[in-house]
Amino acid sequence: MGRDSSHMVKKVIINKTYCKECGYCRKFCPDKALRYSKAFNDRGYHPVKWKGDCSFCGICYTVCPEAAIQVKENEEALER
Amino acid sequence: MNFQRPESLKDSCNHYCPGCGHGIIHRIMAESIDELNIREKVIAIAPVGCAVFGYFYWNFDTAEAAHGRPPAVATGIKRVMPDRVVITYQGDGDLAAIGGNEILHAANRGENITVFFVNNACYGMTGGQMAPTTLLNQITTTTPKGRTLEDGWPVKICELLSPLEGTCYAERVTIHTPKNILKTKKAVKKALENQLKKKGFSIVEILSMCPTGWKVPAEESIDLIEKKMTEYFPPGVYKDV
Amino acid sequence: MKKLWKGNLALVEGAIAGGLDAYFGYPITPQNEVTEYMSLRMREEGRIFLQAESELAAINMVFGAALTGKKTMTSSSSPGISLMQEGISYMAGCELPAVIVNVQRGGPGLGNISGAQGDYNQTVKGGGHGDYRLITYTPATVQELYEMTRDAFDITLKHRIPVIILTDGVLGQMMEPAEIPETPEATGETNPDLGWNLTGCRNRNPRFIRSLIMNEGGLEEHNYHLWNKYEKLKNSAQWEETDTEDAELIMIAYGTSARIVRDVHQKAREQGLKTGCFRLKTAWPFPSKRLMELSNKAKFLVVEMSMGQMIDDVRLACESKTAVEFYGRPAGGLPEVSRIEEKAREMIG
Repeated sequence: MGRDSSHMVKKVIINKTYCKECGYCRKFCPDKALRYSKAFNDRGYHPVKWKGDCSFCGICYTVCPEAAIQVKENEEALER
Repeated sequence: MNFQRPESLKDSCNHYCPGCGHGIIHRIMAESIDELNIREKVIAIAPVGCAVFGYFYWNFDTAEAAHGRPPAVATGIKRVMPDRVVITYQGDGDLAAIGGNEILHAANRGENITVFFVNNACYGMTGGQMAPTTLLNQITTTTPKGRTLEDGWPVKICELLSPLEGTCYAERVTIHTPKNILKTKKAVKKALENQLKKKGFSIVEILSMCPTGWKVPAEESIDLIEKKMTEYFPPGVYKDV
Repeated sequence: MKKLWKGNLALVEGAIAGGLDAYFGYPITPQNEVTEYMSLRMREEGRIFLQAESELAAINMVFGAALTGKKTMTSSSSPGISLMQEGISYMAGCELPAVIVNVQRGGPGLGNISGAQGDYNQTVKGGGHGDYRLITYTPATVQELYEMTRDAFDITLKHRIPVIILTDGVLGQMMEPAEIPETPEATGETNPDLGWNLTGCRNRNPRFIRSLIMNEGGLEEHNYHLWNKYEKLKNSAQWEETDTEDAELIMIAYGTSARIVRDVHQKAREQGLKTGCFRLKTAWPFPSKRLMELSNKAKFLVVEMSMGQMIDDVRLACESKTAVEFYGRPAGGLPEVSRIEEKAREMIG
């Protein structure tokens, strides 16, 4: 379970259905901020989960073949 | 800076294998098209190969051509609609085997099109057979004991097409690390800009992962590009007029 | 005013009059004059001409131009048309409009360069793979070469079915008087949104054109859709009949064979033989219904410059209700008037 990220300016959003457990994001993430879930998605893969904090460098987005990871503004935090 | 799905890439889950390079290349292509603001001018041609379903993922006009024929189809489109951005997206078999003559002559005529050549050293869609770009000693389903010289040497497309006067730009890149992915994006964008500037024929050869065809886990396919592919197919700019 | 025109050149003028936007071709005898004259005339008219590196490339360039909805065409002769079969099948599957001209020569293989009619089956039975049909015109005069080519473009665009002009080396090379007016003015913007063509997705959703349909039942549905289109054209066959009302024997032919048959018929009638002529102007759609009607009154003699291909369709059309026999010569031999006459007498009895 990740930390409560509702106060952060940005957040990492992962589309669990699209993830195919290829491992690239985990391999290249400089902050080790991603790990596999225990649960399966519809395709039978363990999708990655974001631990809740990182440098928002965007490398995970860059290497993902599914465009399943996005790094964008956290609207919740901005609204405060 | 936000990192999110570009408009030119439809929001769908693709059919490619885990770790396949196509997804990354599709996204880079889509980002570039968005940034150059040309989505409404693009007519792309999908190959026969794993990317045959490209039109399910690309959010612009696309046609599916017969195997190897995209450069001829692109020629037909570009000649009648010269202000559209015409792109071909082809794999090893499509471009370097059956389509060898079509790519040679499109480049030779200096057709003002952009070609993205995905080189993963095997025939993915049909189960992993030998491609013209398969490395010597590489095991594939039609070279079960490894490729020998009986099947000739692996074909180096950038080197072959660069000497042609009609080729204005030929670069070989890889997508196996974040740094290289960004380099590939630069090349992709440049190849598209060349078309807008009417400079002639541009080709970007992209060394790509095929974990299923190479029968390795995805992470190992990254090592294979680093250790084996780049050795025989050196990345770099081969022509830039 | 009529002037002497060579067949191959007349068909080029027809294409230009029909609004041809782009021609892609490759040299092959006996239609080189088409490609050569196109290279001159298309440039004069400010339209697109490109000599492709092969027939394979040419048909795919036509495929490309057709995707955008423009009027496009290629021409070749038998061995080159064989190379184009892949492209033709793809265009049929994708429902793309285009005009293909086959100036037939002797075959099989490299054959020879004389006119022949050995590609009938390839054309109407589908030389490419899969179930499809091509609208097929069979001109017999230089005038028809001009008119049928001219009219082919609107027809192919209307139905989204490729059109093939099935002619031969004799017609291509011959010169005879024809009425070919000065080329009319260009018709302006020829790239409207036809609802299906690829022009870049401005002001609309993106489209794709493909022939690979993998979803369950998808390809089957597509085939029924294509077949529906073909069924609707079943009764649109065109032909020309001469003296069939009281004929005991009707000679059926198309193209150059039909010209020879006409001479046989003239002489035969002069000698009191009750012959008639039936000349196909379209090989697909085939005039099945009319031939069935005529089979009630007359015997049929089919004359072709081949080993007998169209004759099968004649037998099918009349369900072999009457005697259907063949006289022909393959590989560039011209059927002889005396031999056809002899056969006709024999059949009339």
